[in-house]
Amino acid sequence: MLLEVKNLNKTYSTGNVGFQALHDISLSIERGEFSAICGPSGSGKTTLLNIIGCIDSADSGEVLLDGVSLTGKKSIDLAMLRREYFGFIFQTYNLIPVLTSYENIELPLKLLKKFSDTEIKNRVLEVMDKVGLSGLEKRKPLELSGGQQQRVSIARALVKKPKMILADEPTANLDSANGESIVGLMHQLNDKEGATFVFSTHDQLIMRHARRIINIRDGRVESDIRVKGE
Amino acid sequence: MYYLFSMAFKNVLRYKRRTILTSLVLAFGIMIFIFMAGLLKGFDDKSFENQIQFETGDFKIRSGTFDEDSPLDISNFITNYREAENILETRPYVKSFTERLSFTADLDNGKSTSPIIVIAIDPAREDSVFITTNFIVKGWLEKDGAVLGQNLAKEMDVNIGDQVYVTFRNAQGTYDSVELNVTGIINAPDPQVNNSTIYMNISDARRFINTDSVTELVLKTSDYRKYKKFEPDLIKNFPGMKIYDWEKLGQDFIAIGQAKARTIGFLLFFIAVIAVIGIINTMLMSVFEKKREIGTMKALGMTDGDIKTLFVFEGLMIGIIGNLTGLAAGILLNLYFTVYGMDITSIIGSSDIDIGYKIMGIVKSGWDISSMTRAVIFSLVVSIAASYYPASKTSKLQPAECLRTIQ
Repeated sequence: MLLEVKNLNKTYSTGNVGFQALHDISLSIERGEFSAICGPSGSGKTTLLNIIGCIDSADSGEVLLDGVSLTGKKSIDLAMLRREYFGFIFQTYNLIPVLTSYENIELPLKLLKKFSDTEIKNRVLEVMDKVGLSGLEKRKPLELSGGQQQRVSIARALVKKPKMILADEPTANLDSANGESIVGLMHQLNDKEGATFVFSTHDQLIMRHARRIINIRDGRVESDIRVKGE
Repeated sequence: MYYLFSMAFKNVLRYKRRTILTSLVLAFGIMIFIFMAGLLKGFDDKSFENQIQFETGDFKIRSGTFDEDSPLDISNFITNYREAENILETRPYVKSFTERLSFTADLDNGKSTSPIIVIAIDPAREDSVFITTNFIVKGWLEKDGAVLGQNLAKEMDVNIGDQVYVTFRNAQGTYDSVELNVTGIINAPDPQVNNSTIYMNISDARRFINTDSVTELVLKTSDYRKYKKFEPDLIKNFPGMKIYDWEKLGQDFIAIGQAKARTIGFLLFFIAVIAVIGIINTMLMSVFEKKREIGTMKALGMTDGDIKTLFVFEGLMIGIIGNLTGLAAGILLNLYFTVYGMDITSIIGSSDIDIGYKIMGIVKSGWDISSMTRAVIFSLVVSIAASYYPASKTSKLQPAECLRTIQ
C-alpha cells in the first residue's frame, strides 16, 4: 500500500463561521492506481488531495505514506516528502511565469539535487517529448495555450518519476478536446510508466477514464467503486 | 543555490518599473552620501592644509610657563629665543622656522573700539613656514603699519591709508596705545583672522611692547606626518619649554572631524531608512503578488529556507542595482566637484560666517574611499535585512494557504 488515510477531519474557519470540509475520511491508495476523486464543488476533493500531498494538514486523523505516519512531521520533512514522493498538477497549471517551459519542468529535478546537468537535460527533453511539447522548450507560460501549459504542468509532475501524482481538476480550465487529450495522456503515462495518479474532477467525461472512482459529498466518502476504465 | 539566484534575478527583472523605482531611491541616497562624504573630505583636507600652513605650522615652541588658558597673554614670553633658534638651525629635520609675538589688544578707529588679536610676524621669514601673506588682498605689511582682517576693516570702516589706534598691555604690565597706518587687508580662510585679527611687523611690536622676546617659534619640518618621530628630539633639546605638535594644536579641528563623523553617521542612517522602507515595501508587494507561486514552489518541494533565500536574493539584487547606480552617479557627481570645486564663499554668503572649517573660496571635493566602502557594505547589509522580514513571513505560510489565494 502506497498511501493510507485514516479518519481525516478538516474544518476551515472564516471569522466565527466554521466549515467542516472533511468528515472522518478513510481510504487507501495502491501503487499504479488511476483514481478519480469526484464530487461537486465544495465537497472536499481539493482538501483531501492537499492533505494526501502534504501541502495541508488535517485537524485530526492520520496519513500513512509507505506505512509511515506523517503526523507531527516538521515543515522541512514534509517539504522533503513532497520533493521525493509527489508530483502535483493544478487546475490553474501554476507554472512559474518567469521560467521557460524547460526551466519549469527541470525545477523539481534541481530541487532533488541528485542529477547531473546532462541527466537533467535528458530527462526534461524526454518527458517534454512524451507530453508533446518538443520544440517549445524556450517558451514562457504566457506564450503557451492552456492545453500546452497543462502539458508542462504534467511534465513537471512526471519528470522526477514520483511515487504519486496528484492532479486537482486538471481539465477544469480546458475545453473538452484538450481535457480529453490531457486525461488520455495521464492515462497513457499510468499504463506505460506505472505512475500512480489520483485526480479530482467533477467532469463526467473525464471520470470514465478512471479505474477507481471515489465519490465525495459534503466531506464524506459516499462511494468508492473500482471500474474498468476506458 | 544557483537556480534560486537565477530565479531571483528573473523575478527582479519581472517587475522592472518597481525594481527601477526602489533601486533609484536607494541610488539617490548612495549618490548623496558619496557626494557629501567627498565634499566633507575636501573641506577636511583643505582645512587641514590651511590649519598647518596658516595657523599651527608643524610644531610650536613656547615658554615653559606658557599659560594654555590665556594663550595670547603677553606674559607667555620666550626670553631666550635666540638661543633656541641657534639650536633649531642644527636640527636636520627642521626645514625652516619663524618667530611670532601674539597678544590681545583693542582696536580704535576714533569712533568705536573692538577687541582684537595682534599677531606680529617677521615678514622675511613668515613665508618659509606659513602662507599668511598669500591672503593679503590689498596693500602689504609695512613698517609701523597693520594688516587688518577684511571683516574687521569693514566693521571698523577703515581702509588702506587710514589710521587706527591699538591699545594693549606692555611688557611692564601698563596699558599703552600706538597709532598705526592701515597698510593692508587680509582675507584669510579663517573667520577669526578676518573678523578680529591684525598683523604687524614683529620689530614694531617688540618696540611697542618694550620687549626683546617672542611668544612662539613656529617650525616647518621635512614631513609633518613624522611629527611623532621629531618630537622627542625637540623635547630633549628644549628642556623647560613647551613643545606643541600640529595635532595637539588642532584639537578644535579634530573635534570638527568628530562632528563630520556624526554627519556621515546621520547620512548612513538616512540611507538605511530609505533602503529599509523601499525594499520592505517592494518585497511585501512581491510576496503578496507571488503567494500562489510560493505555494506552487513549496508543493514542488522547496523548503522554507529555499523560499527565504529566494526573497533575500531578490532584496539583495535590488540593493546591488541601487548600489551600483548610486555608486556610478555619486562618483560622477563627486568627480565634477573634485575637478571644478565649489565656491564656498558664494554659498555661505561671506567669509565672516564660521562654519568650523578653515576654508574659503573654491574648495574641491576629495575621495573618501573608506566612507564610500562603508556606505556600500552598509546598504547591502540593510537590503538583506530589509528583505529578510517579508521573506521570513512568507516562508512560514502553509503551501495550501498560498495556493488558495485568489489573484
